[in-house]
Amino acid sequence: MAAKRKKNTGTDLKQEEILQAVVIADSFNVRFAPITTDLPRVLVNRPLIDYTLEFLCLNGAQEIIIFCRSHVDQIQRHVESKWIRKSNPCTIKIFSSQECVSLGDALRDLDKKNIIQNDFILVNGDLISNMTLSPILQEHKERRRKEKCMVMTMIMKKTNSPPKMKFKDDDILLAVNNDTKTVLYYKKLQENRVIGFPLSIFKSNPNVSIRNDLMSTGISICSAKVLSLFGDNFDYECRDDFIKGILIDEEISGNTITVHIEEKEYAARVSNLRTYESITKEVIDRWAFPIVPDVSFDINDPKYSYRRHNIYLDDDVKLHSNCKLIRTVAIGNNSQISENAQISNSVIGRNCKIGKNALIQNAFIWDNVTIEDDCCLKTCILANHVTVFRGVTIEEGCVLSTNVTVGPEVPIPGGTLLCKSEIKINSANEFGLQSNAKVYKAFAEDGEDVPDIPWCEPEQPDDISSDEESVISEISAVEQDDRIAFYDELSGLLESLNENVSVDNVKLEINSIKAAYYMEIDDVIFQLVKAILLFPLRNNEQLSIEQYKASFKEETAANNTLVSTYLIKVIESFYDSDVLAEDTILSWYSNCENTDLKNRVKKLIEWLEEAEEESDED
Amino acid sequence: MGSVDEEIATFRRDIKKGNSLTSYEIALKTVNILRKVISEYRWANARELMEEMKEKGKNMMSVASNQSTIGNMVRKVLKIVREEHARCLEEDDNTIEPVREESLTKLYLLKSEDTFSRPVENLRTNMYEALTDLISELETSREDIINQAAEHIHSNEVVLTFGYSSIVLAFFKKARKQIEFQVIVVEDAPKFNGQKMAAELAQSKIKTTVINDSAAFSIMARVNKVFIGTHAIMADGGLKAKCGIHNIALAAKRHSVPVIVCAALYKLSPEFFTSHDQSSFNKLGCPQEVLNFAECGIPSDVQVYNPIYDYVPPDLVTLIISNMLLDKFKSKTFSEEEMPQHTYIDF
Repeated sequence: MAAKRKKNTGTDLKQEEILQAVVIADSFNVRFAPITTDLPRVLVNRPLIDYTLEFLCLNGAQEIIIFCRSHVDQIQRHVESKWIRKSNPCTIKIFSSQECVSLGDALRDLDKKNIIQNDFILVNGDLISNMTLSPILQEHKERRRKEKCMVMTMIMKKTNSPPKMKFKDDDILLAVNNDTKTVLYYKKLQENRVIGFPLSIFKSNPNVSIRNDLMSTGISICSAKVLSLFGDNFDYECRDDFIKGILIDEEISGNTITVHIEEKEYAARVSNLRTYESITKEVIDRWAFPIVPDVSFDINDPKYSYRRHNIYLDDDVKLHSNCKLIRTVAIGNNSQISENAQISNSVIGRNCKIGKNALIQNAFIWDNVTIEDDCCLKTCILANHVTVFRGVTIEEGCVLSTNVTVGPEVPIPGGTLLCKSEIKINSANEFGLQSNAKVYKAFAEDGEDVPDIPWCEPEQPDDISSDEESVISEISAVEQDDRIAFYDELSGLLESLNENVSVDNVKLEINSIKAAYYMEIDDVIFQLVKAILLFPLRNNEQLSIEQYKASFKEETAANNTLVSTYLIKVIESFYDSDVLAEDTILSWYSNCENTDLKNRVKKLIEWLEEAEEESDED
Repeated sequence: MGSVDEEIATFRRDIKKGNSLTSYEIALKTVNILRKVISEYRWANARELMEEMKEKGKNMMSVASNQSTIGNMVRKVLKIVREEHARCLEEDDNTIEPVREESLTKLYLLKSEDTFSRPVENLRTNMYEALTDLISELETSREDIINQAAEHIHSNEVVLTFGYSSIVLAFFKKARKQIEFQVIVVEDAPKFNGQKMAAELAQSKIKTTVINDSAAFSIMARVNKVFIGTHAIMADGGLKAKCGIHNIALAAKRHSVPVIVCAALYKLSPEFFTSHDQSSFNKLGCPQEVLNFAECGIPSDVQVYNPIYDYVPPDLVTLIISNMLLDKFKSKTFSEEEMPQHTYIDF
């Protein structure tokens, strides 16, 4: 495919298309606090960004642009020492900006720098994947050739975890056209289990599937246009805003997004503590092969040897003959495990010392950590240079940041986040006599709202099933909020009818608010009928049926041809649900003076009379 | 053309990415890269050249420690360096005893004098030629093997093979030009490469049957010969072959069916199989092939393994067909020849 040619060159020379990739190496949240305040994250004794870079290098990226905000020096030093070298065929550039607080800002910054001309791969710096992108890239280009307005291919991964196991971020509902793979609808469910789909999705696409079994991988193949779109729309913060924006404006700008659904290969993002735990285990259990501890990224990488039950040992690991490594364990260089220690599902970093009788389960221990005798660690992260003194029990979900010391002989309750206290602490520290720890208080940066995701939530009985039954078939393209606001405005307009505003003007108003709220015509009718029907109730909620009927007749039915069209239906349903008695309807009919209305409901009346006669005969 | 480093990086990437490379291609690529080292690097004597080659070889091998072919080829090339050096030295300087045939004692003597540090003329050109010869030897190796096909497969025989092997496929195709025979293909779960093999065989008008792995024993009674490819031939004459071949070999033994291995010389490896080192011998692939991760509704307590290799002991192998005449009893001496003066795994 011809690369976008620079206009001013004016020659037929095709610019050689190189594959560019953009890595956003900051999560823009504090889910890993307090560790991430000091250090970039580490997974199975490798910096997290290495996994992403390895993924991109394996996929033949020729130029990688890393965009970072925090730990810029550390990232720069690391990347320069490890990845920028003569033998590495791809060039890596690092940009940083302190002002950036979201993905959107980062992309806008790149847009200004004008360094991306072609389609590029956009990933987050916490991605672990063994996917092969070349066929997807190919497909993306094919589609772009046919359809210039296709701006992005999202890559989603199929998962099979039941809804309650899903992390809130991953609970996505997606409607996709099966033939073109175009995304028609995209929504994060959050708590909301009631979903409305615009009818137009099904009307204009014969083959639609609606999926809730997908997980975002954070990999997307974007055209250069994506950057300018971000540049034009300053309200796009994250990928979701972008997708939502594209979908809403689809009719105006014609831009579309397609999705690739990956069923086989591995891709996951270390986006919070729980994914950190599960991904670590999956990497050790080789699901991300060839991204496994014993395949080196680079010749200077530690060389792990593989042992039965997925145990990986680096050089110079000293194991006491009596210690037990149960399964799924990786131990870094020069670490020492003492007598009777029992380790399972854990990672132990370099230069660590594990004392006697230690019981370590699901613990992720970084470098230079000392754990003294008789400790018990369950599901926790210990960052570099942590010391755990004798007899400490760490319950599930704790995070101990750099240089923290705890103990001796204290229990640390579940879910505690500890960081080192700068002030000298008196001897009555709740975390032990020799401890320097204080509880970390999460603070939101720049007032942004940080959803706090606890690591280990107590399992709640799920009552989702009952919610699911209540999913109703509301017809709506827009958010519930918009619909409510629209409805309120409509009611206000109807009110104005009382003040002798002409019907034509009201019509005009309705049309304009329809555009303002992006309402579908079907939706407008639905809301209008609803507003009209409820109109008499607005001022006095305790109207009797008779009063209601009276006001209904006078104010609405006669004035609005729309309602009169549906009047027969309305009366019929009132009759069916015993709101109006048969006699009431018949008496109203006989008293009614509006012949037009009479004609419309004639059928129903005839049917009612017939029914009465029949029952009389019985 | 990129530099040697770049080529190595691409090579590493290709190997890491997986299965698209056959060991023939890997062997060829390794020798090509080493040949480039000769021309592109500055070196004054054989020692420096060998150091350079060892470093590149280690770099290439680090990506897949149990990919034997790279190591085999690096050792082969190093051996050629030593031989060429000795020969050039002999031409240069007639005072020392001519070294025509390598032997352990002579090499030991050579090393102790550290003659490799002596710069010799013509080494560069001679080495380049020698490696070009080696490449052409590699290129013809397949042809040499498949030319023997008619001698081993006879009319109306039923032969069995396991999974996909490019050399076995070529071997069968060649035989089919002269005679008619029937092939039973074991499908090789979980990759199911056998199905691909069967499809290609059928295209060449060979009568083909696919069976699943567990049916191999019961079908073995009807089989005349088993032909398999292998990843490497180990120092004791055993095979490092695809996982599942040991079963086939045992079944063949039980039914007294000969097991014939097609392997070119680049598959000869100085590795030994030691039982305590089982795990480093084997390589574990992605469990995805065994159990789909997305579909896996089982609790995380279940571990899934996907081993790649099997060790087949030498007594189960009847014959090795290679590009040079070679029977399995010779392989031991062969490894000695390949591997003078260095520890086995590290060269």
